[in-house]
Amino acid sequence: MRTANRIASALLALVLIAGGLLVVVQTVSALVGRPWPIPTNWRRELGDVALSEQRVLGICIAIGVVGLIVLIAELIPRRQARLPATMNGTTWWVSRRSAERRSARAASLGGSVAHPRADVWGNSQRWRVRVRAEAPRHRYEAVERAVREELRALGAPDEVTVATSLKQRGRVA
Amino acid sequence: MSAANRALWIVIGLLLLGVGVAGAMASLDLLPGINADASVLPMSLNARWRDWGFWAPAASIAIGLAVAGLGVLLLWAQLRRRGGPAMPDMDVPDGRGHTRIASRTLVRALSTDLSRDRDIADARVWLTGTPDQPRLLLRLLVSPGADLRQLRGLVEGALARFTTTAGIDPQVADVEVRMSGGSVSRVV
Amino acid sequence: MIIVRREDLALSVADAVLAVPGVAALHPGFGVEVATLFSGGKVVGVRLSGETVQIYLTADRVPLQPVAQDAAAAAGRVLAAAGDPRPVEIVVADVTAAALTRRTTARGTVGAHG
Repeated sequence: MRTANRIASALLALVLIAGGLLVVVQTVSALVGRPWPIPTNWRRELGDVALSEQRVLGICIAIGVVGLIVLIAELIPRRQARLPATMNGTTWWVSRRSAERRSARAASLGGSVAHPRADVWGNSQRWRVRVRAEAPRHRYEAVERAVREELRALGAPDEVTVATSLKQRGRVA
Repeated sequence: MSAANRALWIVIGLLLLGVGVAGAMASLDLLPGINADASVLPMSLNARWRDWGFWAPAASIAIGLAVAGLGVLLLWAQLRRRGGPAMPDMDVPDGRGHTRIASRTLVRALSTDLSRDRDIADARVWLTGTPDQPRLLLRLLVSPGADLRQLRGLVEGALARFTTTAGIDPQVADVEVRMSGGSVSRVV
Repeated sequence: MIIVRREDLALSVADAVLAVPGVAALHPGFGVEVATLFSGGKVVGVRLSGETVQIYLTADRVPLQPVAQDAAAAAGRVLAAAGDPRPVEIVVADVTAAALTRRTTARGTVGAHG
């Protein structure tokens, strides 16, 4: 989304530059009697269009829908891109995705735990991890221990909350 | 930058939504004070524009230039280097002339030094600020199993060598670490 | 009156700079090549045209500032001997990887060369 915003803003910038220059060129060309690129009858044509016309309503609805989509896309809560790892007073930043991959890898316990997934979020005081996987319940402590150790290696703060959810693998009949 | 972009697009979204809703309501004759049979561009506005005489095209040109200028600023903000402009080359006055240490040389030296470590697959370095107040931004791509606690010591060693090399002691403004990809293995 | 050929001056400056401990090689610069051209060849890394004599080098010792200062002094001595009063600009354009691994030691100023 950040990248998409950046690209959209750059495109908007280009539109503004083009639009602004168009207005200048149009005004100056109209002053010298040769309006370009838009012919001068645009004012008369707009004057003939009533607000109640279907196309006006359609365009307004379309603009409103685009605005709503943009608003929803921007207001959807975003996961943090990176996590602060403070050691000896200096803060490094660890990519959230990397932290989740490492946590999931640790939770796999070398392959004996299936489909491990981890969600990590937090601040410089505390990190939270939610681990989901398929494994027998007695693996619970081992998974949590492995994930905590892995996060320590990443520089996580002392306060780490690990919520582990293990599902028994279904038996094959 | 991303927060500013997000705020910009929220404002744009609200504006578009507002314009769309107001326009639709006007079209359906639901907006008080506006007749749905009125034209999109009333003739009275045209007449007022002509009454302005010289000021109308002057205002139009000024607005056009302002909009284009805003576009340039917005584009510059998107393309701006991370952390600001690169630090200029370091000038060291010396007797007959000058000695100059190219900023890109220092960046390459530090990047090379960092990348020599087996746990660091790639090290991107940005040196910004001034020779009196230099700032460093680092982006490290490390191996999947790297221990960041040990890595810090290695990076601090490289930074100490950089300080000796360059004769400047930069403030480390930002260090970001990513692990290179690796799938999680499992036993079926 | 002593007349020194341009290529001889460039070669002498290059030799003097390369003899400085900590200078690994001359460097072609960034973008447009820094060199002194003459019929039959060129001296890369030394530019004699212009108001300032420019020398681009690769260092193999740190810290860099003493290396650059010694190189400037060496080049200056050669130019002075040839009656060229122009200032010297030394640009450290590169550092060898080996320079970063060596333990740094305190260095005094290098004595006179050539």
